[in-house]
Amino acid sequence: MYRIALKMLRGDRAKFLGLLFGIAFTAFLVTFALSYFAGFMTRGFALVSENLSADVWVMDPAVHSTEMTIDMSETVLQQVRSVKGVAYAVPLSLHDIDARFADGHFQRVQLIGIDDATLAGTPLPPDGSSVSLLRVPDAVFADAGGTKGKLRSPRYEKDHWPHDGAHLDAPLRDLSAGDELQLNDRRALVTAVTHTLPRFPPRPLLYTTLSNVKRILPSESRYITFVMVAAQPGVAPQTLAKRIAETTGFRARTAEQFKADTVRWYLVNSEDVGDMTAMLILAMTVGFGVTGIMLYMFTYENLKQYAVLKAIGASDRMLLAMIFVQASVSALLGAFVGIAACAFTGWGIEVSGLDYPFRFMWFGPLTGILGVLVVSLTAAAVSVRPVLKLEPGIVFSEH
Amino acid sequence: MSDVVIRTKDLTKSYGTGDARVMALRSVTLDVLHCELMMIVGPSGCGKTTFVSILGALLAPDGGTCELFGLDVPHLGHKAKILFRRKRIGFVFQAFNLLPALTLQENVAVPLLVQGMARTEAMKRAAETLGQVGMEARLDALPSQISGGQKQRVAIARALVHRPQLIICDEPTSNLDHESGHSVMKLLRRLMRTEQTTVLVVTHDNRIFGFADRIAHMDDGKILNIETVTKERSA
Ligand SMILES: Nc1ncnc2c1ncn2[C@@H]1O[C@H](COP(=O)(O)OP(=O)(O)OP(=O)(O)O)[C@@H](O)[C@H]1O
Ligand SMILES: [Mg+2]
Repeated sequence: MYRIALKMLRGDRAKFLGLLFGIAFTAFLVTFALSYFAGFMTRGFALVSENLSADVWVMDPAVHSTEMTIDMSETVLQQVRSVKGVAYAVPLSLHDIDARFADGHFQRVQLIGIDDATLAGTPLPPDGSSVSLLRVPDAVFADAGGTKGKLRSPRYEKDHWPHDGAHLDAPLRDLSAGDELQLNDRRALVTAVTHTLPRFPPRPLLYTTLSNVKRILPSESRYITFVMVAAQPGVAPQTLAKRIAETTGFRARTAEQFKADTVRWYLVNSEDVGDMTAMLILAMTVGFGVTGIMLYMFTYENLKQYAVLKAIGASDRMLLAMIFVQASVSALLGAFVGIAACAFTGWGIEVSGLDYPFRFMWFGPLTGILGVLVVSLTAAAVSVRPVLKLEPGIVFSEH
Repeated sequence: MSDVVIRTKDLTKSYGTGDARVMALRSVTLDVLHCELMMIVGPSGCGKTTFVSILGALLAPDGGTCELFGLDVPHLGHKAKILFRRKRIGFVFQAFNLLPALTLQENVAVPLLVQGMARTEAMKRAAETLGQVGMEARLDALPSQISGGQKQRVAIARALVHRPQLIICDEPTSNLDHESGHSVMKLLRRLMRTEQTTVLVVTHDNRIFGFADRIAHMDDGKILNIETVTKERSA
């Protein structure tokens, strides 16, 4: 009878393909949305990802993400360095600040302060120059951080720091090494333009030394946002993080924990995530709705055939089993097609080098499959009702 | 040959309630004999389909009694009714109602598969039965690929394949031309002989009246009279 059910399913080629397409589309939509979401979250913890050598991140106990931070006083460094198992510990500071460009326009950027001694955490200039370019007086490395067209400098020399006030209509070009900026009225010299990991939310980044940060923001009393710790060989990051937290009273998280913290923080706090979730829910509702309705209609249009089977002596259980087999097979087939299409899209994004937040993680396809399966089975359960209540008279009608 | 296999008495059935209430059967009393071809004829809406639906355990009557093969059909449980249809009844419909996605052989095998018979055995018997109705050459055809007369032959094969005691046909020839209608009725007569089956045929089609053993004339939910057909055409 299952064979018959499957034949019935395939019987009307057009209807079956339509149904499969609907299910595939829904699975695609869900998987894509979740991959997109995963992509954004990955950008959310880009700071953690780009500092590969940091096994443990130390922060103020109130900090739970790379996004909303408060600084610690400099004594934290000594405290952390004295914990057993710490190979080395370097500071990192984050500050949002307005950068003024040579023509007078300004842009909010994230100023990332780096340990002067080690320059740990400095992105490599793409032209092969050394990170020591950051040691040039007032030097900053500029990075788009996932933005487009936000780091711009006047094309012509006459528009650079003009004496007659801002030249806000001046034609612009991309910021490049050699350009000067003003940060809190202090001079900053761009010595390299880098391409590190894009951020979420996207924002331009300026990397500089911690001493430069102090020069630019002299009124701050605390500068250290994170201490990045490398564990000694043979010391597990988890153990070290726990030990640091216990001895110093600061919050200490392994890189993986901190990434997870950051994602959790976005889920709870970010309005962008809220908007994205709303869109995702909308997409899912529409997709699932369409799938459900199509499957329902499929059963409904086959009512007469079920009525015939019923007249012939098929039990309710048989009919139920047939309908559920039809629903699950369509759901699994459709989900497979949709997820394959999504994986293919992701691959396309990757090879084409598009700057698009997309990360195909296990929960994307899983939610896709489970989602369409649940919806299809629910639709089947709903469409079963008329089958079970079938008026036997249907089979005697003329058409 | 004269055992009564179907016996109904004062069968009543209405649809709907209040002003919309329709008395489909007012009082139907009828006996049908073993291996008899009983035709039920009458104007549209007189209750023919309702009557045979009750006999086929597809519909419950409001009142009266209805006994088939010694079973009090309306009072069977839900499962027993399903088993009753599955084992004892074969249906032939006006609209053929073959499953469009299945081959002719699979269509005919359905009643056996429903009974739980293994697929190979069911398919083998289906092929044999299709041979009995002269369709052995088209086992793998789809219903859409054959004519109406051929469809009704396949439908008869499906109604017969599980060797039921009663075949219920509702307007089996209404969608067929004269020629096909005749040959379908001839086939039915031949097979009911060889298989020792009782046949009920609901029809409007006076061209096939000659194939009946007896004809029950219905009107307005009642049987007006029963006519015995003098045989010259049955074969
Ligand atoms: N499910 C139903 N609900 C309401 N009324 C019904 C239903 N089925 C049949 N009827 C009514 O019951 C009466 C008898 O119907 P039935 O189908 O038994 O007649 P019939 O003799 O088979 O007619 P026809 O020759 O047109 O097939 C008709 O008036 C019909 O409208
Ligand atoms: Mg009728």
